[in-house]
Amino acid sequence: MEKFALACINKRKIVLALVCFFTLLLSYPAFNIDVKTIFEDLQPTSHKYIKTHEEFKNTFGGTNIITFMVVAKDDDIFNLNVLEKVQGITQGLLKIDAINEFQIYSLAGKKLKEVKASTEGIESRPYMWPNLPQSEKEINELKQAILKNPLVYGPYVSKDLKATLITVDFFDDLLNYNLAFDQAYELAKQFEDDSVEVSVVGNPILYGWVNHYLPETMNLVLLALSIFLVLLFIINRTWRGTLLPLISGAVSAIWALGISQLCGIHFDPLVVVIAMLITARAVSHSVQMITRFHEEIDLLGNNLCSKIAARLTLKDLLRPGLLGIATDAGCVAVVAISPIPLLQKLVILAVVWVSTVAVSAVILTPVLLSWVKKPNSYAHGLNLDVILIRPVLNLCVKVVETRARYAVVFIAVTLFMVCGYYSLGLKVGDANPGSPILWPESEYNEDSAKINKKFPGADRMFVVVGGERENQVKEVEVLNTMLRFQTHMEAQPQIGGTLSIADILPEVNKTLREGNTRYHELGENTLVNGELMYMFENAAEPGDLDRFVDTERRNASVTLFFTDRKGETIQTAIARINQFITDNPLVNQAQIHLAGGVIGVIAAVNEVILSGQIQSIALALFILVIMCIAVYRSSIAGMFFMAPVILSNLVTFAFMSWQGIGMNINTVPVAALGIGLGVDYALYICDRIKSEYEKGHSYIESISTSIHCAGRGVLVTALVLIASVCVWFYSSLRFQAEMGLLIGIWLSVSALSALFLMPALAYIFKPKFIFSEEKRRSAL
Amino acid sequence: MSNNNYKCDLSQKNKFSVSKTVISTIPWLIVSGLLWAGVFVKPTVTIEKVEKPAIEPRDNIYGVDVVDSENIWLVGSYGKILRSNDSGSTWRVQKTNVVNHFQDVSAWDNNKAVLVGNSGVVFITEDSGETWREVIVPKNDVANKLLRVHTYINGEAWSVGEFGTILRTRDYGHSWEKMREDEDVILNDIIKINDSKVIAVGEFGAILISDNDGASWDLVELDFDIESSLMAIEFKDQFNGVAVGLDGLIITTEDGGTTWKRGITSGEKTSEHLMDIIWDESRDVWFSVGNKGAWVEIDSSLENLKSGIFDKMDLSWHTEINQVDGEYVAVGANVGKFSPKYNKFVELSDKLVW
Repeated sequence: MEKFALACINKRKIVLALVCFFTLLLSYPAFNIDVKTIFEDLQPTSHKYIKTHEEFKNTFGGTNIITFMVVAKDDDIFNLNVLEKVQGITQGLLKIDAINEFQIYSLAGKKLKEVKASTEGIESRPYMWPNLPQSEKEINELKQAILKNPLVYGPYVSKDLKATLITVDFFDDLLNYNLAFDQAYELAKQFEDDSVEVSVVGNPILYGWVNHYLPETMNLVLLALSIFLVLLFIINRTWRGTLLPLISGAVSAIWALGISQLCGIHFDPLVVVIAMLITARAVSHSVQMITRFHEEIDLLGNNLCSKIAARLTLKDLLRPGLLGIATDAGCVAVVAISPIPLLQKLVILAVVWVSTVAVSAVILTPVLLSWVKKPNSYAHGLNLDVILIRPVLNLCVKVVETRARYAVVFIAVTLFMVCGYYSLGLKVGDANPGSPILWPESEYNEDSAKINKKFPGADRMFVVVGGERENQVKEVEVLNTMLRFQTHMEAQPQIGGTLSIADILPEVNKTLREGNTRYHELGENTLVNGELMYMFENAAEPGDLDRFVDTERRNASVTLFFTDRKGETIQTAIARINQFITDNPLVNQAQIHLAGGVIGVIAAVNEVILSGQIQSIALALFILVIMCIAVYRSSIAGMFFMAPVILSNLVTFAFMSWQGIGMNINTVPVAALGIGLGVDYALYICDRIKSEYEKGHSYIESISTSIHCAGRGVLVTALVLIASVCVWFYSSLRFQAEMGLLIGIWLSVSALSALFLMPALAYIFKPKFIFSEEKRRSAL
Repeated sequence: MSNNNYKCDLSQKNKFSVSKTVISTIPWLIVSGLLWAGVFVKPTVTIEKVEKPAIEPRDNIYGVDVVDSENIWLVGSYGKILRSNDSGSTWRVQKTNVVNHFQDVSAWDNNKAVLVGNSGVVFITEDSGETWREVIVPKNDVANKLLRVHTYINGEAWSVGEFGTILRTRDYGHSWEKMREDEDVILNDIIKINDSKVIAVGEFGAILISDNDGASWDLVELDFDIESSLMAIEFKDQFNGVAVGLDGLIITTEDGGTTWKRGITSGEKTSEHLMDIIWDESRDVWFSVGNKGAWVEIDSSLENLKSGIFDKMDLSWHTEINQVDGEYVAVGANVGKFSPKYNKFVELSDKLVW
């Protein structure tokens, strides 16, 4: 270590030149990184639900559906004004990029049809395509026709006749969320007036909103940065103490983003909080370096060169610095075992980013410091050290010296148990209805609530029935099973309704029987059901049945409409599906395959997160212990450093559970980073205690020095970072605000445990890996 | 690195210390415990229990019979049988071993009843429906769906259905005989109006009369054309009767079914399918129900007609109607009670139809 430190400082020009060279090289790709969200990245590709989803999404319904709801403000939708607007929006859809024009469902579209008996069997015609009804009489006929059709009255026209839906699917690979978002809202605004209200929801809209807030997000990043710089300047009172951490953060950001762009990884605006978090690591390491450097140069006196101070700093802090970084990287890397591409990409980004901190903070900061002269004066007169920082640090020392140390341990143990209990209530998946990414009162969530109030539910899941033989879904037993399945599922209150071919055939059958409702039933045998399907399709257009059955009649879909996306709702639904499969041995003939559509994908993601959560925590702790053992050659060290990590995680989980923040795809990476995050501060403190004790100081002296030096760095970074994380509370994205809050809590708990708990534990238990007698004796 | 070498020596020196060994294994125990948990512990999810209502949203209830003011029987799709002992406030599901659609139910008394359904299934009970027993009835090779059944005194009952089927029992449903040759016409309803006269109605406006308790049948010749099927028939006495059918068809007779008249002179007619009709002695009116929540009321003079829908927001279709305590129980896509006094329809179970 000493050699490496010496080499770095002696060849400081080369080191600096190399860093500058790579920074310049990587800044071009870094500034050109793609900032976007791709919903498909969420899909855990190996999960069986996703396989079903991918196979059938183009016909049975994908994840990128936009739903427009047109609500008549007075009376019902059956007047020319409202119907014209429905037609206008439907026609306007064709101008939106990447839409799948064969998947437009609207009263004014071609796909929703009236089915009628005629002398030649049955015929079908679109309700108001290509022309709107002209007279009062025609409008009334339209109304009657809709009321008669349960596939339209309910799913596409609300029960109170005041609202109608227009849904459109997209070609996933061509879809650009921003464009779709702008175009959809433009279309909605164009037709909204005193007589109608238009609501718009769907994944492209949701992610469009995230991108919509991108400028705001950038502003918040800048604001956080300014707060951070100002605070650092006020506390450190030197330009170097302000600028060097900034340089560290900037260099690692450029390297990480540049490398990501070169690897073809895009930057998801939702993970900007994570970027902040990693930058925080860089800053934290840098501040430790600077604090230590000040101390060394004070000891050495004015005459000596800064180079020596820089070398000593690097030598002493290299171990805790690298250990902290390696632990961070290791703990984050564990998340990569998740089969979700978004997380895997994020892991690459995060690991690269964290690793660059080794260069940008641990090496670059002392190298730059080696050129810095001892300051003669401070940049301003406000000395927070005297009025804030030192008193706090003194308190820390006091706590260790007195019996209060037992109180600290007692508080920690209590907190551990209480939070441990509460964190059991942590929910997987979204904890509230509406999207957790946005605030409940956001336009999107309000629109979503309105639609779910009028209709069976805007979010869909499909399951696929069949798959064994051709024509299997014409069999009575299979169709009956589908209907029983639908009945079973609809008993769940959050499932507003279900739809399948088994709902259509009774309608066709009834129509063929003069509308006699006693024949509102499936055909008696495979042949009759085949005929009914043929009749329906013959009367309609080819492809009209595609969303219900495939062309070989091998697979059929059952679409379930959900009124919310809550983790509990989805888990209950999945469990009920499995229960049905277990209870119905007949289903074996026609298997039920889970699950596609937005809800199917979320279900898969939640299952992956749920089963991966314990694994990733266990693995992250495992890595932590291995690192500590490798460095300190003591398994006790592993256990010792587990304390702050587990504590900060439990507190955060308990907070999430208390605040109703679910463990979902967006929160998992933050949680994983948190594990590595908790340990950094403790490493610096304990390492300093160790090296002081080895120099021959007493227990209390060593602890006191460590707290006043390393502890100062901890306190300063924690204060500065917590303050700058607070700006996220003002984000229009609820997700960012919540993550900001969580990171704030994480930082606070780990800083507090590093300052109070770790010294207390060290003093009470006096572990050999810190207080090494032999080393001390040899030093003396 | 010298530092670490030193530590190695230290730990070797103390390697026999039991307490140290214990302590140093704790982190490994924790980690291996977590690893074990990660691999083998599959988190279980507490599932909200979902209570199924007796009348489920997707049930189609085709048949109803009111035994007395408390006891009501319903039958419907997929073998559904429901019994209420409290005028329809609560329902209990009764079971058979089949999942055929049941079309109609009729009771001789509180204990004995018969139900009929698709594929010619017939079930009888003698213990208020605690147990239902299937009885085999004569069938044809083509189509056997039985649509209606009506019980009369001394264990007699008549049932009609597809392919011109007319069945009769005289021993509370234990044995059934075929009362007519097969014919490719669906018979939708049947009524026995005195000791010997039985009238059945069906497809294409067919009206069949037997004056000898079913031994022979005559097709009634009408002096007007009917394209629509007749769905139900009801008499208030031996002479005055009404039959209703698809597209709002209403025909009346005043001579025990020999001659029929079409149309009511005044009132707003409906073009909805009418599926059932009853005579309400207490209000002195005929009352009929059908598709899209439609109802039709005809006064006893057969001259004035009123029509309406049960609930503007609920256009569920109904196949049968029965009286209970001055109100009507209508069944079909939903089950509800209609109070003519307050003109109000109340569903007997929360139900979503679509």
